[in-house]
Amino acid sequence: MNIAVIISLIPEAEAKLNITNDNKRIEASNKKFIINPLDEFALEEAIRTKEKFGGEVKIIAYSVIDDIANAEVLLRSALAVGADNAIFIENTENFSQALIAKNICHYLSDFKPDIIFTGNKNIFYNSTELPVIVSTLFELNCLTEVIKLDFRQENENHIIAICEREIEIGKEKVEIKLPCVLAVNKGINEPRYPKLVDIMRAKSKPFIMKKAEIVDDILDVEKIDIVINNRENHVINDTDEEIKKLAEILKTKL
Amino acid sequence: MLALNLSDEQKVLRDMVRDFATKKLKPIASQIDETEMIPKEIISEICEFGLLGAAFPVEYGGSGFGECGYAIIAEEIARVCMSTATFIGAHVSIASNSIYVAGNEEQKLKYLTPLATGEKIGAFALTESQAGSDAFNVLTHAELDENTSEWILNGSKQWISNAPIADIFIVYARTKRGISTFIVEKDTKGFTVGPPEKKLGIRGSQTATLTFEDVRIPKENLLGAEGRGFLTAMKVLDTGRLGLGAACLGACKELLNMSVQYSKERKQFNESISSFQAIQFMLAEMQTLIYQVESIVYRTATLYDEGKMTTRHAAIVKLAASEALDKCADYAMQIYGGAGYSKEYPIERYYRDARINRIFEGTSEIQKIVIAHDLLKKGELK
Repeated sequence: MNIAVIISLIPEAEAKLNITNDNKRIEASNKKFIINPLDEFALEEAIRTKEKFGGEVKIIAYSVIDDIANAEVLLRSALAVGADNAIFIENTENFSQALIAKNICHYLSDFKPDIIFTGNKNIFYNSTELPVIVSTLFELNCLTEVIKLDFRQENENHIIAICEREIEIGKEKVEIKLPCVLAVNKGINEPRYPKLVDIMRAKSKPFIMKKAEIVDDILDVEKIDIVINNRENHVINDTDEEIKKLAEILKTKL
Repeated sequence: MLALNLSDEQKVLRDMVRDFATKKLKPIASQIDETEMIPKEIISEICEFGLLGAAFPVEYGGSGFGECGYAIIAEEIARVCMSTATFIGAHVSIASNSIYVAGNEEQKLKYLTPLATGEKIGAFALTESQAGSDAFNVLTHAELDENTSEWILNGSKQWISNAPIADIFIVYARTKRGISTFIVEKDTKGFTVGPPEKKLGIRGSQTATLTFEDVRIPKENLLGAEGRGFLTAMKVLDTGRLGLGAACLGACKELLNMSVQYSKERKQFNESISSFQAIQFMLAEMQTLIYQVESIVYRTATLYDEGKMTTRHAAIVKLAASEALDKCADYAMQIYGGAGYSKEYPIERYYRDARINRIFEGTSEIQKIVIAHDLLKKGELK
């Protein structure tokens, strides 16, 4: 089975980011990046699928900011977990999700994926449209918010994915025929740690850096603002007076 | 090596071990201390990732990360739990490593491989009640029974880390030709392990006495040549001392991180205590010690992997790192004040866990003797 995983690399939550003078770029040099946490679930699900059916897991990755220092380290760790090869699309900063999707499809078209996994959301940009756009470009079915996945094999060329989805009132069970795009959410699995010996083996797995081929975007970033939320900390002691104070804070500030 | 340049694989290793330590080990570190045991599931996970085989080659069940890789693991684990770091150190650096250093091919395949994969747990047994710093003075002895081709082992060992959970013991005993090393399996007749000792710190790392009463060991379980055991022990302890230095480094870093955070939050005289120079000086001292220790740990680990580390290097690392940890633990306690002394914060555990590092695997005083003797004999360190 040809299994693709879309992975986005984002600055870690604690990283303090700055904006360039023209207010259009985020500066992230020397900041630590991580794999978008929801994409880690996608990677784990891809590897479990490979363990079930055999085949190949191809990672296709991009970073939300260009000046990422540790892309290769992050993707080598993904290879160590069990993916077979990785493509990193460079220079996708400020790309719309549609443009990222076009580049992903450009590099995935020869691979002819049976399933494309990705996280349900890019938490850095709070965006959820990527899997839907990718599925549209590939003319595939797509399911989002997948929290459980099983398969039923009708015959060699006919595999059905049985998915549980989170919906407003609870859960929905849906069957979808492969090939398809599945956007997974937290809870679908517990991502594994790589084994040390696989970290070493991942050294020799193919890792290719590619330039973004399609660069004409329909969107243009006008301005980026960073909002700093200063947390107010109050320590409330266990006295009547302090408890009154707490009640007052709850009444006025919330 | 002039700078700390980790390879991509070493960075992946560090990230992975840090993540594991933070998410899985840190939340139960105080439980490990209180219950005086490391949960089996945690040990299984450690084994499954291959953390116990990092330093050894792939052909013996390891992953070929060498001593630099091992130092990274020791550092990251000791950041959150010195008991677990001690368990790993005793298993890898001194027990498994005895077989790697002195074993023949057959012994390595039979015993090192299951130790490197974590299928079996190892312990290193040198110390006796009258042979601590005076390690050459071991009284446990072995005689060869010519009729059965078995060694017969008698005596006892003390302060043996991992003893209550170990399957394979590396035992140093006196024979006709000097001190020799033996591999003893857990269930061998006449061999008993005492109950875990009650200790001040590293309470999750179980320590016990061993007793040998006419324990018969197959001839092929003699590790290395007869009479060469002391050399094996010294070589293995060099590795242990380096790994122990890396563990001390991890604990120092965590103590500094906690101290910085607490000193910013804690207010006295309407100001964060971090604004007071008295506190700043302590933080600065800790930071300086950490930079020094980090530099020597990884420089020495690199020398080790290049086959250039000497006994003097290892002793310097052990001395500097364990003394630095003691200072860092003391400063952290002083910065936290009463809060640090209470069990509400982990500082008191770090304080208790730190102390043993100046004692086991050669006291600070023994390290100074080793360094001075080697210096006077061989001159400048190359």
